[in-house]
Amino acid sequence: MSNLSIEDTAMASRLKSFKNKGRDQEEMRRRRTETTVELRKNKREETVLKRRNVPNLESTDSEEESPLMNKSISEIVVNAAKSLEPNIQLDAVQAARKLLSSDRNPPIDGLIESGILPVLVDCLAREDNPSLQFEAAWALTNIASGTSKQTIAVVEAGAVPYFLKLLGSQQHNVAEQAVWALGNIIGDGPRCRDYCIKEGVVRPLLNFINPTIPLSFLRNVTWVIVNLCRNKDPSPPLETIREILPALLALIHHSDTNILVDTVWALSYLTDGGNTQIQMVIDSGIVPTLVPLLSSKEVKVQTAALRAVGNIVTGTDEQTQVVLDHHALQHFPALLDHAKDKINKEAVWFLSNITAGSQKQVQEVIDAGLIPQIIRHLDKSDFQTQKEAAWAVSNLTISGNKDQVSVLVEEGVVPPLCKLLTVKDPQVVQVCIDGINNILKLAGENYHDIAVSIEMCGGLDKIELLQNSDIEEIYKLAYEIIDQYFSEIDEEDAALAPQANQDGFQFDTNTNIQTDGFQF
Amino acid sequence: MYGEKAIELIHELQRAVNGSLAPFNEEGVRQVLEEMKALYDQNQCDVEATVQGEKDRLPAVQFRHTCLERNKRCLLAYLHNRLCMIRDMRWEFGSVLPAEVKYNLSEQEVQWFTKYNKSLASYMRTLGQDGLDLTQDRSPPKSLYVEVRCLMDYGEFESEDGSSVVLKKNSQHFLLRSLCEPLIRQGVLEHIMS
Amino acid sequence: MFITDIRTQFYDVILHHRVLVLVADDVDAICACKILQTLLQWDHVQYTLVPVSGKDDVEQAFLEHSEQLKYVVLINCGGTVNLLESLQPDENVVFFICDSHRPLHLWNIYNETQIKLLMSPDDDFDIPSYEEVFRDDESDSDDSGAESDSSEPTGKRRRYDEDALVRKMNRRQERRNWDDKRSKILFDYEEFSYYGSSAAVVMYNLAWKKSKDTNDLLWWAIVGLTDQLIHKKIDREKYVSDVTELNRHVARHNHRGEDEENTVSVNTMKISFLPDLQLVLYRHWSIFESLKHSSYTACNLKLWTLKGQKKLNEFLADMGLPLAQCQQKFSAMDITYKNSIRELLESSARKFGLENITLPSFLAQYGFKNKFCAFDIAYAVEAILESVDKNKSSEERFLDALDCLSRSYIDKLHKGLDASKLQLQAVVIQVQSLLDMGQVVSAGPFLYAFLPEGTPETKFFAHPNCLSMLARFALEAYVKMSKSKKAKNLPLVMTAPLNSETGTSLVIGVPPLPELEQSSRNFFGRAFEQAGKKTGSRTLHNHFDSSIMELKTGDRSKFFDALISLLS
Repeated sequence: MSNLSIEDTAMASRLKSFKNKGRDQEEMRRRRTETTVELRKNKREETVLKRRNVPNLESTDSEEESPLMNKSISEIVVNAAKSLEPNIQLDAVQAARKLLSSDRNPPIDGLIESGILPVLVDCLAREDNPSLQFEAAWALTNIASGTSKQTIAVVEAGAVPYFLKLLGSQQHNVAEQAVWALGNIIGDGPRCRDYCIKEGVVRPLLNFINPTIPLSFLRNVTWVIVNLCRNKDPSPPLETIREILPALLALIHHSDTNILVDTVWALSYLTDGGNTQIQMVIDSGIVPTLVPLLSSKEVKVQTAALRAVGNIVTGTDEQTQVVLDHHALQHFPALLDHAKDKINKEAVWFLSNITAGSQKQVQEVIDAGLIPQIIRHLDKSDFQTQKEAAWAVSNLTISGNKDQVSVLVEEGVVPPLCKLLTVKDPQVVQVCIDGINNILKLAGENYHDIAVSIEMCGGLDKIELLQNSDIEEIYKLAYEIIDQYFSEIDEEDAALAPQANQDGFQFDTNTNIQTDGFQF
Repeated sequence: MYGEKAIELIHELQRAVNGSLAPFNEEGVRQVLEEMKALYDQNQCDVEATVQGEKDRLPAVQFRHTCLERNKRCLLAYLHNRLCMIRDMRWEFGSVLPAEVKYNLSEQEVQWFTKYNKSLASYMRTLGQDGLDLTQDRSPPKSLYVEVRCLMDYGEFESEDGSSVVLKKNSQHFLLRSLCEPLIRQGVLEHIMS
Repeated sequence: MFITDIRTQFYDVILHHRVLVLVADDVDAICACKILQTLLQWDHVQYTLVPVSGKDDVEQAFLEHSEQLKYVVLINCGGTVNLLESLQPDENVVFFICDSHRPLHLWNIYNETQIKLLMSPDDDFDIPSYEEVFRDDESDSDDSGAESDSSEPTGKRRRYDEDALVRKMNRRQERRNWDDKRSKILFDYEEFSYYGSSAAVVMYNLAWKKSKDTNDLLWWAIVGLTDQLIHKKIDREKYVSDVTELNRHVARHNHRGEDEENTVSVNTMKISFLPDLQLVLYRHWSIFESLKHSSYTACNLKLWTLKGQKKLNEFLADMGLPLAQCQQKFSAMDITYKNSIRELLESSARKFGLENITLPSFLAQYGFKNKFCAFDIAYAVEAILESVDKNKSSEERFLDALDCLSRSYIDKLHKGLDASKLQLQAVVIQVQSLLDMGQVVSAGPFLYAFLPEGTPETKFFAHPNCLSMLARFALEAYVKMSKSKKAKNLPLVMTAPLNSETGTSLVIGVPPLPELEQSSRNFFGRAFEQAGKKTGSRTLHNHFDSSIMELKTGDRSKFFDALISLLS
């Protein structure tokens, strides 16, 4: 940010001169917060139903516990170790696999406890018996698909190097199964992911991407790539990201929807890791293809794409500008009107990070005609969306110039903004009252009309009540607003009003009143 | 003269209809007494003159005598009615008079009030086991509960058992009479007949 | 859930606790409230009574008063919304709902612990069974990210064998089928709004089960039922059957006093059954005025036209009623005419297309002066409830209306009768004006009329019940006037200015005229909601009756455009 224009410096200093502000745009941009879904509503529905007392018909889940099952598991484990009797061994391993691949609850822990893991890993090494390798790989895949504990048990049994070897198997089904298994392991978390990367999973994996690969195989590969991009703390190694991006660039042009969706999700995870990663994604040249996906006919693609570009614009102004330069805003009228609440919400979140940017970027939002829709969501929408809209509006009042903020006012932002002052969420209240304060400030001498509309929509009463808030920023702001913009009306009459003292009012006895009757 | 001042005192009584007592009109009473004295003296003169032999004074004496009687009657009515009102106040307000009321009583009236208080209290003590406060519940309560309408925003009101009622303007409630009576008297609640 | 024994499962439960009673602003609710109040007073049950005029009020009242209250009774409100979701109460709060609005919300019907419905389920058409609408089993776990509902890919995936995959596919398909069927069932169930039994009658039945019913309570039940008929919430058939039920009680309470030895005082309330004339308020008005202001006679005789006026004169002449008599106050009419008025009307009615001029109803009498027909009371109470007095807040009006039902406030009742006349006059003037100026227009799928601002009648129609009377009157008048056959089956949407300061209008949709007086079901509730959503109009769907809503007048044209395209 070395070439600050005069405008920018002026604005920066103006920002700093605001009380309690002094954050620059980058601080204002907000990463997507993991909003906890309104669980209460769902919980209520559950409790209604739970009290219904319908007897539980599915009582076949107790297979795991039955002694019969335990007997068969130990038998299987014993037989699976009989490397000298291939038929028995294969049957046993297949039996284990079948237990694990049925749609009933698989007895994963039971099998692990009976010591199946080393047995299965040994089977992986049996180049002479691809069927055995296949069944073992399948069984291990399903064990690794369980809890983290179960996945790590697979890793600790030493399976990973063998799986990596299997990637080179001549049998396609074996190679694919190995890919799948590694996918489950990598998807467990950053530790497993980084371990697999160290062992060298990336190159062979990416090598599978060629025009001859069967579709289902490619889907699996793509999914594993998603898992490589997933998880933060730490994010995947930059070198790995550098290797993966070209593959994603190729995959994003694929015609299969599933692959496309997964690819875009992978991008969304990568862009969630900070500005450096965002820059890498931009540098890969994928943005021009990504942005148009915002208007894809597939809702799943739209959802992922919106998340990805939304993450990009949490970066620097320049990074944000890249997205805007590819006409991203064109897609937003439809996104803001989308039938799905979640898409509305993320669209508004996206815009809130644009209105936190430079005045030029704010202007782009205004020119795209998006303000009325944002205000509509502010007024009436899912609460989470209203929250984002409040941020969007408030950010605009900080970044925007006087004319831009007056556009907000003309489009009727004041009443819905005041309406949100009484919600329970204190962050929203703070954002709204901040916005109102800024609007008034920016109006300069012409704040009267705005003050009147605040009063008329009941906002003044709410602000007065907020003077009693527990939260310092809120009550301070409320007091300030009332003091600066709403107490002038009383000041004018202060001189005339009688002084009140203990016994009543003292009226000014100096005024000239005729004491001996009026002369008409 | 001739009973005019006395009538003014009566007018005063009439004006105090709402149970609000006007300040004790010391001045008025004093003036009436002076008038009476003047009349009496004049009558004395005339009677003496008649005894001395003058004949035409009788009607004047008669007239002044009637005036004296009139004045006496008015004064007595004034004092008596005020005392009745003060007595009623004891039953209405209790043994402590509100300051504004006390301000309007003459000293003797205050003393009378105290004495009345004392006799009433000692009488009430003799009733029942520990005495009985007759001034509560003067009319037999027809019901344990009453229907009341709230005339103003009063806020939360706690009852003896700890539960609270929110008294908002224009809400209607059915509550214990003993709970509501003080609020009815204060004008917060209005008793509704059904 | 539906309660089966209103005495043990409702009354005995609240007997020793304080309750919050929320009452909607219609006459039936007020009557029900009065009955319940009386019962509670007799049993010394403490309560707090709050009038509510919309869903917002219910939420507000609950927030304000629900501290330490375990039981809430809702009268003519709360049945059609998901109450637990909108109020978010604590787990131990129980709601007793006595609501005549239908369809009842399915969550209210199937909740077993916190919602108790006092009405019988017989009123409801086709409640979907539990299994059709709810699923207790756990949803299938997600696998193979492409098929699952959430679009984010899952971290781990299990590989299923063939059979398992097939089973999963079948389950998924079955689930989808079930979902589709469910959507259709829900759509059909919620499509139309209508009304069930009167709340006042339900409360009266409670009193009867407790053997505490009296003539007063019975009278209030009758008034509540009558109100339902006046606003065409129920059809004539249901009305007649409910009246027959109530008549049994009337007979039971009022057979004493007939014989010489056991007469009761003239001041006690006596109710008698009688087939009464459908002439509004005729005992307190003149026959002429009453004929003019009753929608049945006015519309069938087309009294706003010259031809109609002539027909009216013919009708009166046919009956042998001199015009001068008809224009006199009824109480001042010649006694011979007064006593035979019903027979006279009935005999001539057929010739003039007024076959249904009589309707079974009840008469109440106490003291020498006080003789009221149930219709009179219902009209009077409503006029007070929707009084145009600017100084009265809506709660004050409610409390006045409550008062005028009790016998100690006869003067309020008379004021109500006067107010009702003003209301009816405003209605007739407005209908006349609408027809004269051709302001009832066909939009294709429905008729519509926008009431102009600024006329002296406007203030009456800023209230939902009165507006509903006007809308039905206007529709009937228009249909009788219209030569087109199609008009008979068209519903009507009417808007009236509500608040000029905030620029809002009240909008009501009434269904088409019933065939053979069958009750019509109203689809406007949903239609309004959808039209509002589609156009982003600023609407408020706050009323308990979904066919009434508020709209920002500025959004009216786009709202109506959407409504037209929705219903074409």
